[in-house]
Amino acid sequence: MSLLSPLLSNRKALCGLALLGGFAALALVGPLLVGDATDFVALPLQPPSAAHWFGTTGQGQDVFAQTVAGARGTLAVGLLVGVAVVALGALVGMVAGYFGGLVDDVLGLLVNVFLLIPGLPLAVVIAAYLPAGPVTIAAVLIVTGWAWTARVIRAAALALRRSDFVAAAVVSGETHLGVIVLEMLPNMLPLLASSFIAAVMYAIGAEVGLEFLGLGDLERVSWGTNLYWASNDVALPSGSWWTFVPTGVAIALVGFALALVNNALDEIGNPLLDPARAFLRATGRRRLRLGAPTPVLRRDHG
Amino acid sequence: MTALLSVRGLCKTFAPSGGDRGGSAIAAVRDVSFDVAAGEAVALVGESGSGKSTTARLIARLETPSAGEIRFAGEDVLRTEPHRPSLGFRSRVQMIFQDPFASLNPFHTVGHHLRRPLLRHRKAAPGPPLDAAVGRLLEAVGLTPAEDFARKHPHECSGGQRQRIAIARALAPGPELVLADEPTSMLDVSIRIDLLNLLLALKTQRRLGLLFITHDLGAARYVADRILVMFAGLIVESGETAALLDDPRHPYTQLLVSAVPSPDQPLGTTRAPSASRPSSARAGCPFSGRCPFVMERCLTELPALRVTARGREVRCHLPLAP
Amino acid sequence: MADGGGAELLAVENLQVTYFTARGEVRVVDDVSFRVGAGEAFGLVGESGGGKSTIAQAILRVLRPPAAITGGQVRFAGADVLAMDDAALGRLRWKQIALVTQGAMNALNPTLRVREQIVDTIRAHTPAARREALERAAELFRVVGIDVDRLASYPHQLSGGMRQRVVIAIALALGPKLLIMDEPTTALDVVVQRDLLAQIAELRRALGFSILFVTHDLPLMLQVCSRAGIIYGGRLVEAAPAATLRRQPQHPYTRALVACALDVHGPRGRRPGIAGLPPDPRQPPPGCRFHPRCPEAFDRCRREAPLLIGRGPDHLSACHLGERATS
Repeated sequence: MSLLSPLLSNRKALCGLALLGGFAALALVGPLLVGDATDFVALPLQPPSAAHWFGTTGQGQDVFAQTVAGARGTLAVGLLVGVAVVALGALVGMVAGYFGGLVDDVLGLLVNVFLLIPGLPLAVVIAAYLPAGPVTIAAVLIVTGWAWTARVIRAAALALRRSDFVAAAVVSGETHLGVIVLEMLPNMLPLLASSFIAAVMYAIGAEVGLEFLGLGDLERVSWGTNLYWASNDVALPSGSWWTFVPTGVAIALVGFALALVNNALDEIGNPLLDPARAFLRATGRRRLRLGAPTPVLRRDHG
Repeated sequence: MTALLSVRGLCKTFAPSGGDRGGSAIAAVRDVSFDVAAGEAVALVGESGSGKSTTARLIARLETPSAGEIRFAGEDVLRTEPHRPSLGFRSRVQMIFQDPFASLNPFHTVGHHLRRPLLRHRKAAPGPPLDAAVGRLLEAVGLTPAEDFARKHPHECSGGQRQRIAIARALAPGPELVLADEPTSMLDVSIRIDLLNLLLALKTQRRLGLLFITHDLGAARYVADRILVMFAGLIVESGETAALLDDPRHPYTQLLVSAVPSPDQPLGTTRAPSASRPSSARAGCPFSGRCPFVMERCLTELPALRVTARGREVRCHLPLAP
Repeated sequence: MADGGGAELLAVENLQVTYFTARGEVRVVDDVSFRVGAGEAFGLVGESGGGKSTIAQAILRVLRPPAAITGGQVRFAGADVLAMDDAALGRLRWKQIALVTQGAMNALNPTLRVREQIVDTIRAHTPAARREALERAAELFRVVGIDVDRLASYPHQLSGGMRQRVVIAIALALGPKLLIMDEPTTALDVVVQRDLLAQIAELRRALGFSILFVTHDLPLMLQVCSRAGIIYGGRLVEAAPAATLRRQPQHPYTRALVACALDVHGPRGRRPGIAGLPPDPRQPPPGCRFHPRCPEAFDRCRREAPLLIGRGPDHLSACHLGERATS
């Protein structure tokens, strides 16, 4: 029972995955193709031209190169945080949901405490004290982001815990770990996939936000630092839209691609309306009318 | 000879749930005692809310009893393994659940469902011996060709086939006692007999003790050597199947027997008073609200379980013939 | 055709229902015909997936895509249901024919008190004022045997049997002439079931509506209905008065269903069940659809589908066995 084949036959998913694939390629090989994006290449604040497709920054660097090179930094942190948040959230959520009782009470308290703490302000405070850089940012985002996933997974685990097949596995003599990993986890894959996508979206947005505030490693090239420098170099008042629009568009596209895949997962979870196509053809209609009476199609032959 | 299963004074009370207004503690099972011998089929019959499923879950140790004793092959398991049942217990007591669509994990193949308990209880070594063991189990429950079925997922099988898979899974550890919780209630009547025949055959071949929980007296009659009738958490009557059904002593048993659709008897127009939920909190006999023979005494005093010379038990204040 | 006594209320003729799936067309109901008279209780008995629920829903045209009715006639009190437009169907449904589907008692709105659900139904189909509708709701509760003070309850506060009575009350709210019930007692205990059916029988005597009772439980149907049809593999294989089906079933499937009845007073010994599985509507067996599971199948059964022919007064059966004796 794989998630893969229905995903690949869904147009939204294919679109989203293709976009993400493109950006992943950019992240992997981009920096090799554009060289050192912090090189001084031309006069500052030049609008887009044949020589520099996206123009130059306030410090005379090539915007196109920075946009391409920035993908790696941002996406790497986004991916890492996404994986860590889901892993930590799933661990805590499943254990709390499975064992219940005192374990659930204690873990629940932990989750609630972390949920109460305002994420971004805490992130800003922590990042201000720790050495600037992607590792700090990733750590901060993981610490402030895991609790939401944990709560969602805990709710799902509590419901699954009461199902008959879990009881049957327990009576069969299955170990605690066996029940959690073999019985409950596989039935939560769609939820975990969805949580992962949500976590990555959160991570990218928060990371860009933190770096924009100047809390990232300003020597590194990432989408967040691009925006920081654009703002620092007075982009808006000087009308140099090309210094931040490409990065902004790139971030938006990644978010859009993730949202497409998430929507596709939702669609797959619900029964497909695929059979309706054959039905629509037979009845000569273009769309289904909700609550329409069963049509009567008489054919001349048997 | 020690009975395979011996239950004494089993009780289970569920704490009131917070949200319900006027929620009080629910005594789902009150003072239940009975034996099951190896090779014997005993039916636990009652309506929903009677406590029969809870009793099964207590014996399977999915829940912890509030009071009482569970002896398995003479050993008081609640005392020897108070917290978690041992793997040994799990290998000797198995359960089949009511809903064939919910008791199998939709994610795994049929083969997986059987391999796990075989491995866990070390009934076969991984590899070809394991596959052979899976094949033997599927054949034992009539699912052939075994290789085809082992590869299927539950949703590719019919309700009857899924229950057979559930039976095969229960047999994997080599149990001595099987608890069957309404295994045929969700199946069409036309396939119930097949499944019941399978259970009976397996019981005889493997000398299993079978505790068959049901609300269907007809099925209980087909399967069981003895019937225990439960109402509001109590056993109200018990006895050998034919004797109990031919001559039910407790008014509730009489009501049950008269309510079973019989092709030869037309529907009567007499109606029992509309059933309110039996309250376990009420003192006295829980059936007093619906009993056509109710007396003053029944409202205040819970009858004790009396035993006749022929081994029939009845919990009623009415005079008991021998 | 098996005829009902008295005026004919519902006539289903050569009904055919097809599902249009991505993998091709699947015919789930094939040439089914029967009649229900005024004030009569008619049963449809068959295994799950055999088409009986589909027939019940097709009569009111509430089958969802990808199902379509691809042949036959459905006439109610003379009117052609299959030719009706939305407006005419709106006048038919609930007011003339009411349907209680399987699991309806679990489909009550959990956030509304039951009296609201009855009132909603009444006011959706008639111009009644709220006060009138509430009075009617109270009357309905009395009629189905629930304490009037339970009108203010939410569904989860009522037992299974009571919820089913609420559903029946809603179905009877507008005084339909035909009540179609699909497995109305499946989730109920045997005592509650008996009480509910006795109640329905009383109501039928008092109010005079007809019943189409769909179930997989033959003994249950025999308790309620005076005539019945047996559906197998989407086809009608036998139709007769209930007593005839019980005492002289002709079709081997009917005979097997009668033998499968587990009651408390009949013979006690071991019995064989019905081996095998119901036919796959996508690839039904050739000839008689029951032949793979029939203990008396012979060569002709594998090649030629038997036709429904008369076996006696008001008794039709589709089987080659009886014919053999006369040929």
